[in-house]
Amino acid sequence: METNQIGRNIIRFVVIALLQVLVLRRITPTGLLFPYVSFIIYPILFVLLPYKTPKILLLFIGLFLGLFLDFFYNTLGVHAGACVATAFFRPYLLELLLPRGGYNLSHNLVPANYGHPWFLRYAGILVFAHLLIYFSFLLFSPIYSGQILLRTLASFIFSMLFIYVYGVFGFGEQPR
Amino acid sequence: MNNFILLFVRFGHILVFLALEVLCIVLVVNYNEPQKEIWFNSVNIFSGSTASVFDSWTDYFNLKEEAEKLAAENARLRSQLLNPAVASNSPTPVSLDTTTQQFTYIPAKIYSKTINQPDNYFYIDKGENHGVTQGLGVTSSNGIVGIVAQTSSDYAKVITILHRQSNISAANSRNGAFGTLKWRDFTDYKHVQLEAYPRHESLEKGDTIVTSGYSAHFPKGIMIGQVDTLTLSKSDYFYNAKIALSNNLSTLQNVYVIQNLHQDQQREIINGNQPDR
Repeated sequence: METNQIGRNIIRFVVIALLQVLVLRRITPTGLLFPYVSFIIYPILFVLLPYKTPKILLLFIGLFLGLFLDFFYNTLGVHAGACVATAFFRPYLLELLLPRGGYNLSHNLVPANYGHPWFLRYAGILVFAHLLIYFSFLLFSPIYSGQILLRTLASFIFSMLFIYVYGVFGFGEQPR
Repeated sequence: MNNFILLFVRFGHILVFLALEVLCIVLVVNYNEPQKEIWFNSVNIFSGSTASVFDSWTDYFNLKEEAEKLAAENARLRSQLLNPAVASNSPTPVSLDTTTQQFTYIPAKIYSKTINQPDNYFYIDKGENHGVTQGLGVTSSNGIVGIVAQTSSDYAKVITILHRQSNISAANSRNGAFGTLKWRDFTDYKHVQLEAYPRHESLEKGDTIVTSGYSAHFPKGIMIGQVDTLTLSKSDYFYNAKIALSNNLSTLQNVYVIQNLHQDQQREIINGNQPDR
């Protein structure tokens, strides 16, 4: 059970990260699509990491994932900074959103186990914060606060759509 | 000790987080052009304003010394005006006709500097708003300082002569023969090296070295220093001389940026383009 979960997380990391840098990075919406959208799906990796992942390990996972993305996006440090920040506050967010009855250590953090409203709140806050930090690192000046907010909101809609669909259909209910 | 370890177990991840974030910001600022520019400008505005506040307190300590320096400079300038033919430092009489004027001076204050690095920069409190642009020469009342490298609206960064890339044409004031000024000994901010000075021209200990005027940065005849030691072996084509700088860059506070009104024309001719008529 234990190794199974670790193995599945590693495979998910590789697949999603490659999908992000090889496919989604190349899509630049123009014309009819809103020009502020960036297709970013990798925050789902932070959403779905096991609840009991050690805090320091979480930070280094964030750093290496971020650096990997940065090499392809050619923005060294930008994704890394955002990922490390997201990895840092994830445990605090989970503590804040403690469901009735607490967390089950072997359960995935998906709607099937903790309910749709809980998942939407948890993933929503995590992804929104991640995108906000990411775009702040990218534009890097309070002069662009309007742009940062606009891009965050526009990209948030797409990211959440993907993450919700993945969370609902990617996992069955686990025995309680 | 045990408590210490417990403390780290509880709060260690916060330290790791802060360290990694600092690392990321360093990466962002160093490897991304737009972010680098924003960072440089913001830091300059911040350090510029804090440094000016701090300076306004510490200025008083050096007031006497600065006043003496300025009085000496006034006296020298006045003597040049009254007796143009025997002007102390300049080889030609000073002309009072502003239509033939080639250089103007912008006074500036240094608010931050280093002198013990291989590449030393001074930061001054005048920028594009005051007419300072990239490539202008910087001097003080005692001699040459450097060349403006980068400007923001109110501040500028100066590459000093104490810099690996510094490359200034310098001449012997006695006979006009010239060489190139380089900084080789990174620990000694009082001396620079004069290189590529031809062996058939005379050079002696104690000779005064000034700017040659063979560049658009500096007018001719600005003081650099005096020959301290020189070596010339039989097989050398060039002298290798150590110059004691007349300017003490470690205590310097006030400088002048030299605006060359003919710089564009001179560059055009050197680059081979005819100026538009």
